[in-house]
Amino acid sequence: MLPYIKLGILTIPSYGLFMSLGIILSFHLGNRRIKKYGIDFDSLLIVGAISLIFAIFGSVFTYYTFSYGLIKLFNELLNGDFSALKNIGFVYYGGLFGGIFGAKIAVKLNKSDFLPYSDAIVPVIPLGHAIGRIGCLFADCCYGKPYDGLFCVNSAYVDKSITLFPIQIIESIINIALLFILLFYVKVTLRRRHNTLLIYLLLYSVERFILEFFRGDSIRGIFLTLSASQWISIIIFVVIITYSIFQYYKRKCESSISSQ
Amino acid sequence: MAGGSLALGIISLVMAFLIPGSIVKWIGAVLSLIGIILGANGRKNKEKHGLATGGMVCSIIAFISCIIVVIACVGCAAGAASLLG
Repeated sequence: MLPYIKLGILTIPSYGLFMSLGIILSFHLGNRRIKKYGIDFDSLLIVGAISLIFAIFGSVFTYYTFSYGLIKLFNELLNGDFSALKNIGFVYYGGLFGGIFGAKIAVKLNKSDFLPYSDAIVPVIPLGHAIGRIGCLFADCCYGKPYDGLFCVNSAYVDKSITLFPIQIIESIINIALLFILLFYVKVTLRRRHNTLLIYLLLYSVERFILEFFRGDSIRGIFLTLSASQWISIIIFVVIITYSIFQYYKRKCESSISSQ
Repeated sequence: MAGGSLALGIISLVMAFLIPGSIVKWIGAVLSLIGIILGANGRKNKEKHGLATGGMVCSIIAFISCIIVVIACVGCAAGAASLLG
């Protein structure tokens, strides 16, 4: 669509611009939310920066593992071919779990509790993701399957005669809806025990599993007709449901023991 | 920590604006994030608050600049034409 935006003498990659905008707006919204959870601005910066470092490495590592191939990468590097490192790709799940791991480490180093950070910051993740997906639309990447209905789009990486499903816009809209669902959830369950991160992962795994059927880029890796992201979504969904059922029965046992 | 933050902020700014190369920008992005962490920690010391804030601001600007310049979803679309013929 518009992979580069020209502003006078500057030529700015649109994907990087939207990704930065997503990070800035998410951080701004997170900063407005942290006060009611007793978190200060500097702590948010530290946790955010450490999360981002792990998110970047996680996302890139997942890309090279599932999409590019680690063995292929190592062979190229051993032969002195560094071209793969110049065209780095990202996988959202890798970045998400890398960021969660980094946040847990940062909160532990800060000697704080993870749950307030989860309630304050997790709802803003879909906002950054939504804006990043608009960047994908501009960069013509992460495109959808062939489609010639309403709101179809083109991609610079596909023959111009083929129009595509606007999966980037759809995912962006669903992520904005997810933002409001999580904000509402946190507000309504404020006085009860909850884990916003688990709710987000559960909802996002369902969203991603369904939307992957409409994605047209094959580089993500396909196994038994499902993409790598769909397999990851299934694993996340099963693990969270199992954990939630276990926690429910554990709390039930504890309450029955304490009532005796 | 405040001095370290300022040093990393300046180094990452140089990497973001003056030295070409995508790998340099990646290193600059990571260094700027470390600069942000050191700056945020350094701000807790009231005597070095200004220095730490300066380092943090430089690191934030460098990080955003590195991300804007270097991130390109080329990998996402690398297999494009082969799928759709």
